[in-house]
Amino acid sequence: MIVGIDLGTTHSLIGCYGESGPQLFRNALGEYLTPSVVSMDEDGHMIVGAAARDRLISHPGVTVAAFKRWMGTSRETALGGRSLRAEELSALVLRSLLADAEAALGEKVREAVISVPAYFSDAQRKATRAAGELAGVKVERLINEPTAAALAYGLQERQEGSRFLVFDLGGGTFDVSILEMFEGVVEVHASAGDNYLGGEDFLEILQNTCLADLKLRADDFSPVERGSLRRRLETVKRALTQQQTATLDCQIGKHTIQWQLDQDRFAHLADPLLQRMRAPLERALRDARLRPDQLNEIVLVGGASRMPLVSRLATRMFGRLPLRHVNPDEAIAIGATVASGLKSRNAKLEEIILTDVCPYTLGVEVGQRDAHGHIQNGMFSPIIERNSVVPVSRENTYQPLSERQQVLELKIYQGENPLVANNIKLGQLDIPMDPRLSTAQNQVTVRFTYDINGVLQIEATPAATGICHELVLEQNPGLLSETEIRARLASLSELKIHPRARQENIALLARAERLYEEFLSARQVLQQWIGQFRQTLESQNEKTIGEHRDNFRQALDALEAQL
Amino acid sequence: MNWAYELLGISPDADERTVKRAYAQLLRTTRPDEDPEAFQRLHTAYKTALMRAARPNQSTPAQAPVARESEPTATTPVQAPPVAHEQAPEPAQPATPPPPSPAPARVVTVSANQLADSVITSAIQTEDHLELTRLLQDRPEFWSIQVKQQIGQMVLGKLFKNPQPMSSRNLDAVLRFFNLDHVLSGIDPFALQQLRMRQSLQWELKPEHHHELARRTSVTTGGTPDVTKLRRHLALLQQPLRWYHIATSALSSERVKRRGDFVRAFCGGMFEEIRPPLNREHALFWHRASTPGAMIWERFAVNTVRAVYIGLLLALLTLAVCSLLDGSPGETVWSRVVAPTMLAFAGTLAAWLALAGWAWLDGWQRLPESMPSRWIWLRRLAIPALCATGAGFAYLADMPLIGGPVVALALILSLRRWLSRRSRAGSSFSFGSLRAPLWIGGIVLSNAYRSYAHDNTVALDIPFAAIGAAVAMCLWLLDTWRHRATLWPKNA
Repeated sequence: MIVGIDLGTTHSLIGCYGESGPQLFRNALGEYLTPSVVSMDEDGHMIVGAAARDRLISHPGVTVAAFKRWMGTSRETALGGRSLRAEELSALVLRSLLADAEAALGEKVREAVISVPAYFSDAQRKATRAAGELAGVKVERLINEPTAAALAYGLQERQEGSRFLVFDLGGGTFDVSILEMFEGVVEVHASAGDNYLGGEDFLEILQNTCLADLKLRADDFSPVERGSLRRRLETVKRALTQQQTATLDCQIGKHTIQWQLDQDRFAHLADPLLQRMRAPLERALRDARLRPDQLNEIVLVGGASRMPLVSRLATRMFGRLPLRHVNPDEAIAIGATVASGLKSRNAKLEEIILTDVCPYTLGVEVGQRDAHGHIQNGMFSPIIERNSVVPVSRENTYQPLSERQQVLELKIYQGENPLVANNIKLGQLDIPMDPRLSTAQNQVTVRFTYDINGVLQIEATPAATGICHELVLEQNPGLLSETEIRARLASLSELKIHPRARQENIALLARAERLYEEFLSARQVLQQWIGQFRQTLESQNEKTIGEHRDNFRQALDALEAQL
Repeated sequence: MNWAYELLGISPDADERTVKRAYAQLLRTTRPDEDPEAFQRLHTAYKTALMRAARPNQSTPAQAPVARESEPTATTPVQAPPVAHEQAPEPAQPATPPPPSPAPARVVTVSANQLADSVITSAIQTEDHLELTRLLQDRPEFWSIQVKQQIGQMVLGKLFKNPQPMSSRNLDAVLRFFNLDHVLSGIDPFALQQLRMRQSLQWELKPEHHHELARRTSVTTGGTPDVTKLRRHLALLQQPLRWYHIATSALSSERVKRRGDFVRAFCGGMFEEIRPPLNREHALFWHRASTPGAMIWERFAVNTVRAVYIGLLLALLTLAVCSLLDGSPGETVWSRVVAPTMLAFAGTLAAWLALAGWAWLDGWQRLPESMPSRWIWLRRLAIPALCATGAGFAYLADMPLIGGPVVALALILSLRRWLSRRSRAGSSFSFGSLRAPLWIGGIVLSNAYRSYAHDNTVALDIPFAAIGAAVAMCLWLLDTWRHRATLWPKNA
């Protein structure tokens, strides 16, 4: 069975392309959205999802969130005596999602299509694949998030010959894609984005402003209190999508927080972030060689696009109102399931063909003699230009800079800056030259081939010898090697995730513990309830537990509403 | 062009819709994930046909006016269509894009030309690049993507035509704002680098930015930028070079180096960018005078002045010592005091000239073969010529005292030439490793010769000049053989 997964910064979803079209699976708590948060409890079991998100406040030391932002880096987080990489944390989330899917399908899931931000780099894509392997599924394909959203949207609308721009502002990443649908072909014209811009950054701005207004510093709060403040500010952020002003009035630790924010001020505060969104939008449009009026629709997806200031930005830039037909939280996941259906050649989807683009420019470092005979080094010569349709294969010829050169150093870079110093080096290929030949005779044909899964192959052929040199890219320090993946897989399988049956209880306990941390006034009663519920859990009587759980939930709901 | 239509199976006058339908049909059999090469061909054909189909009715999207290979200075669109914008838009209201209909009363029409000029003006006048970015971001006109693209190209075209004093940070801010800071923007990176240098030099030369210049060129006193010192440098470089500049600077070796360092740091190696009011010839003199390595005229001049100073100093010392000593009777003042003084002066100068001459000759002979120079055949044939001259003096003219040193010179030159021009692959073998065996061999040989001459009480007639010349010629031939590829390249 093949499933589609949206592995997001803040939330993840899973689904498959079933008999009746795309279908998402609910988790043990009955929700589609599983928070991408991982926590470890006292006896070393892993907790994933809503319970872990609640534990961000009650147990910040053993809980991690937003790790998608470290994908492709070698950063490790200490979690209960273990240090885990972003791939492993993602694998834990994937394992939890797969358990939900298997429970719903009643069969083992072996393959998956995972969505990634279109602007994810090679290293970040490889890390996502590694996460899939660590979770025990074969990642059949990575699909770009805006493309997935467009698949979901396009299939829903089925407009012939329409071009649209998908504006995807998620929890941690910002992506823009321009697509066209005609005759069953979904063609991506251009993608652009910013890997470090999302809803979390808006929250960060709210937090900084709030603290500055109240003349407090982040150090004044313990980690628990800071988590609590962040959660409340998230509520403020959400409230501002509906109403003009939002107020925060609460007691955190020994600080009384009384703060009010209206939409205009929020728009003003968020202006630097909105300005950062302009460049990718303009770039995508320019690369697609389209005018704004040639677009049929602007589609907003991603949870953070619910903020009115985001749709205002789109309106200002394109001179029209954006659309939000599809549920912004689920669009990408639905698209990923459609892609999984395409992959398994689902009969219903046979007529749809997707062509995607390579989001980055790939090229080599070159030098050149200027008009005065000086050699200028460190320039970037593109071979595959960004937003070329993949699979793509391009070649270019280069020659040594000076006579009698013995080696031609071919340094491979990825990026958009004219100077290689500002781009990412992927590897290097040293090609021996015949020093007796002239520079023109020593020219080298360099061919870059970029396949549909984002794997880059480099071939360099000197004209004199005709021997083809192929590049094996150096091991990126931010990536795991095959053997490392196997070793980590072994150690990761020791980590147990709580069985699905128990997850509801755990989530409830985590919620009660969070409330205990947040509300000083209700601590006594909460402590009592938690103790009672734990006792009931120990009785292992399913029926009693079920009854107690329902009562407990109602009591917590009432308490939270009251506070 | 026609192959594209053949591949797609359509006629060359097909419209966009037909092209797309044909492409979609063929895509079902040529899937991108199954046959990458065929897909690539199909897609190229599709794009070609699509472009052709779009052209006749002029519905091609407006492309950036700059073609990738084109000359950057020729990028300004000649006719700038007027751009309309609201003068005072309400911040909360979404800005209206340029209205296609006749403009309402409160809309002011500003030509693109003026808009571009105003961008340049603010880029010149705003000191802080962050403020400039904010200024540009706040302009409502640029919310329209088309206006922004067009103005960006215009601004850059104007700057290329007419560089303005602008800090490189401000130029970067403008490039970033107009999305021109990437590799596919169509701007020649070399030309841009030059523009950046030219503009920022103009900017730094304004008195109010001398502080920045001092920091960049590290003209400092105790770690802090020193504007007074910098202004002294600049004042000097504004005058044409005079002989007394050399005369005074030769007094201290530090001063020449400092001036050279300043000139290099000032223009970042792009000496063409030194423009009036600064004197480029003057600046280049200090740069060359402080370049270590080969013997250049400027260094020679400075060092000769220095040698004259040392000679004078030695002459004065000799004068003082000689006038204090009691001369033996019969000696005139001339022979006792003046002659040694002059000798000291002339000797110092001669020693310097000999040293300089040797250094020049050595450097000239050791130039890599690929390095072009005047009289390249003389450079290649200098050693055989020296050998022939030396041997001729020694044997034909019977003047071994002249011939011997000439042959020795040729021998040392050929040895050094051969060693330093060896290819990189064999560089583990250096002159240093050969020095000790040479010395030992020389000492052994001379001892053997001396003892032999002593025993036989007859001077043995070893043809030193002939042997030396032969060895030098061998080394020269070896070197020439090594560089045969450059001398007689394979290519026609």
